[in-house]
Amino acid sequence: MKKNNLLIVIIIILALLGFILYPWVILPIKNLSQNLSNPFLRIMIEMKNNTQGFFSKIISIGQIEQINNNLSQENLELKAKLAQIKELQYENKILRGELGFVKDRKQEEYLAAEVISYSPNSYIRSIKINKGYDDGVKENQAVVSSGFLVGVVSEVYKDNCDVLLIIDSTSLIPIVMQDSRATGLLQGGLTGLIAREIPLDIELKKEEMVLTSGLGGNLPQSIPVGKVKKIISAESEIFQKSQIESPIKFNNLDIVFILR
Amino acid sequence: MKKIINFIAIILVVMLQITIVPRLDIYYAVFNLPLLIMLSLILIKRYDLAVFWLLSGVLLDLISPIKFGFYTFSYLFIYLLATFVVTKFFHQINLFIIIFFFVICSFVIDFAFLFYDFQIKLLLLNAIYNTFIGYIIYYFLKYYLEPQSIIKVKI
Repeated sequence: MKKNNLLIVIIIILALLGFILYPWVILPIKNLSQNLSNPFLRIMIEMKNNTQGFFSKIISIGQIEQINNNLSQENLELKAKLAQIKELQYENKILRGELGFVKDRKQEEYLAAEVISYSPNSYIRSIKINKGYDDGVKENQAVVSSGFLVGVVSEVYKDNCDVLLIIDSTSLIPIVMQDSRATGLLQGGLTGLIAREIPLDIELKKEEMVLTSGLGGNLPQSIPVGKVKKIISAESEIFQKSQIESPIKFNNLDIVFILR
Repeated sequence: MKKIINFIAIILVVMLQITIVPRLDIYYAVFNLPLLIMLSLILIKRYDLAVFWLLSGVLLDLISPIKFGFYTFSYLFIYLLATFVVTKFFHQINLFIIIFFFVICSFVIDFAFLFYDFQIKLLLLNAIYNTFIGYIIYYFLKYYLEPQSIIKVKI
């Protein structure tokens, strides 16, 4: 019992010290522990994927599932590209009109990263990926999968970084509807993705693509987010709300891309 | 030797908690594996092993994006509370006590998150999921581990 008490006291002291001296003591330890755990986490993720693959092969009809998945993936990517092309057409139209006053859009660069872990609790929806400030990752950079936005880099370490997913209830992304050109804010939560603060005078269309608006300057514009599923606001409300459907399976992400 | 195995088990379980467990969510609800093991060990009165599982809180703090100390202090609070309740009140463990125990501890660990995002539905779902998994872990550990015998000698 005395040994137990001693251990408890040690843990309390360690935690208190860590809490107080976080940037000087814990951050380097956090970096080190994450570097050490990265290979093991990758093995675990791979083991899980392999096991899943093994069972799916037994249960499903041979390669059909795989082909179907590839086609779905390709379809998603094409949808995302189509949305981007549509957005570029719209942008091109505007730029033609205002030629000479608009700067050239910066060429976007994609950095592939592997998902190494997920948030251990259900309230904070975030992932950890294996690219950090050594690879040039910075806070607030957009992270995409299959062309669609999945989150924003929230904290950067040496070899890895945390990504706050758009389904987290604290995530707020400025968005624009592709056809109606309505702007708003995208918020996550248990009820799904909700687009809010949309002006009442704009008529939203079902199934229209939702893209990042680039307002605020943190995220680049025209990254596809999803499409409008249904309008959920009441008539008495001063802004419109709509439910947004993302094609991304957020609890099954393996590889993502950081937009630099 | 037992302590080394226990320590390796802690590391493995923490890794499971951040890699595979979040993928087994039910409507966003995720069970807390290290906490459930620690509580099960307390229920079968293996305080000597349960106290080591406080380290899982420190490890989770080192890996998770939450402010350092959250898991350590939550686990410590739950450990002290659970040990007190089991030693003082729950002498005979039965099904209702197990359910009550896991539900309350799940509420306690989730309580701090209600300030982050008040989602009562998720709180209840987590409690149900934790109780279900905790119940399985409890019987699994009870089958393999003998309760710690405490002999008090008064001089």
